[in-house]
Amino acid sequence: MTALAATARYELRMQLRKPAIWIATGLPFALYALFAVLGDDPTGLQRYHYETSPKVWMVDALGWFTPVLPMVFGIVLADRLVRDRKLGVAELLDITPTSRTARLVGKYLGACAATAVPVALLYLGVAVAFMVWRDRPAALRWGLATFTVIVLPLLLLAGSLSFLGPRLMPTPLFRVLIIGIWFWAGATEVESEFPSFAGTLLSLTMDYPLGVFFASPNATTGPAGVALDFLRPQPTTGTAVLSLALILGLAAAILGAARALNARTSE
Amino acid sequence: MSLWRHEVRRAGWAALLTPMAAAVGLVLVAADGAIRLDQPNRGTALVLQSLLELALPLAAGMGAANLVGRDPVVELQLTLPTAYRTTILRRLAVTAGWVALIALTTATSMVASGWWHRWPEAHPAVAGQLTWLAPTLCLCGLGLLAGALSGSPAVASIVVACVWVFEYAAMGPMQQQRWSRLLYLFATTRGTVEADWTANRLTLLAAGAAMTSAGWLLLRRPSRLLTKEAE
Repeated sequence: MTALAATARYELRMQLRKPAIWIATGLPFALYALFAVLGDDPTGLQRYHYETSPKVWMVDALGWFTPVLPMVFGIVLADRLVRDRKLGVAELLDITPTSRTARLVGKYLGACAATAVPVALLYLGVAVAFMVWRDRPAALRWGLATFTVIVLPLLLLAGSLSFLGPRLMPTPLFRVLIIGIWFWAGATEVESEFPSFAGTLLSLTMDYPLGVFFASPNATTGPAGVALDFLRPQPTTGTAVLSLALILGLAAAILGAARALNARTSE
Repeated sequence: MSLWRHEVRRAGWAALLTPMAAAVGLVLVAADGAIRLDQPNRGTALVLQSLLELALPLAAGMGAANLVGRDPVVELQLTLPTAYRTTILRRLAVTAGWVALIALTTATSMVASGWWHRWPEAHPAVAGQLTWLAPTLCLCGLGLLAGALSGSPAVASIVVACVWVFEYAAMGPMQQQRWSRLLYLFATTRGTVEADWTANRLTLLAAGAAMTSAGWLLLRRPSRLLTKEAE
């Protein structure tokens, strides 16, 4: 337990000192703000300007930004696990009386927590700004709810992917592949003829929790009459919880695979 | 020649495999569209054009972003008579050249098999090569510049990925002003004002050349990189 906590704490503090973690949140947010400024037609983000509901701001407007997070953090965290081996630290740590699993899980939790810090600050900043601007303290509650239900599962999934991927392939290849995965599981249209995870229980745009818990108009849920429709059940509280459980379960399974691979290749 | 062979090996199979994987992936999507769905040719031909304009430039840009900061013993590199930036530029040429080879092969096969013209908005075969050339050079320049500025492949990769995704998502807003139309990376497959296409391609080529030169200038003092950790 001590090893887990110590590794997590060390990883968190080390990551927070790296500019990459902050750039990975700041740059997409700056581009998102640019997107908001550029789109001056009524369908653009301009419509949120007159919106006074904190829910619309914290869930729907920021909802255009959060799906990018698993991609950027997948890229940033890609070297975490392989780096220890490359630098020769892994062998050194192996001879300490700590469990390898505890160290891996600690590193994972620390890295994920580090990616959550800048995003949490950003949510807090937007919520406080909205609170002051519109005098609606409920923005803080909506911000906290979206951050917990939507953002955290995405970060946990991105973290586990970036722990497994670079064990299977060179890091630069993984960095391109994660854009492909992100595109396929999040950014494609549900109606596209090629089978994709868009609008499913496993979509990276978190359609089911977004649609059911937050009644977001951005969410696409329910059967669409295309391939993989068994992953698109009717949106209910049950299926939304199932979607969250599947995403967290997938993250755990991927981390488990990374652990198994890590144990095998280090012998 | 042996130097170039070495650089190809140094770039590694990661750099060589990435555009191949992208090409094979999208050709499979196109084949799926053509065979399984019995889809009209137009959609399938657009997938192939997207391979040229979206996927291959991304692979090239990410390759360029991973050039600076991956040498384990950069101190040793800096003692060589060849300037480090010359080595980096040679690797950039290998990375971009390989993508160009794949793109040219794909485009030639498309023209020869008739798939090029099955997409009605396709440009004439020769000038149409700018479909992949302009965004590839632009993203390569961006990747090199971001790498030279940050010294970190992770940061440079994020820059390339974010710009790519932003341009993909902001198709509508980017069409509204002329300056943003000129800087739009995917003007062939995701639309622009027809009269702006050539100007857009030339702007992208110029931007790519400018960013590559800026990266080259920044790498003049590679000792800056010594404080960074190798990845």
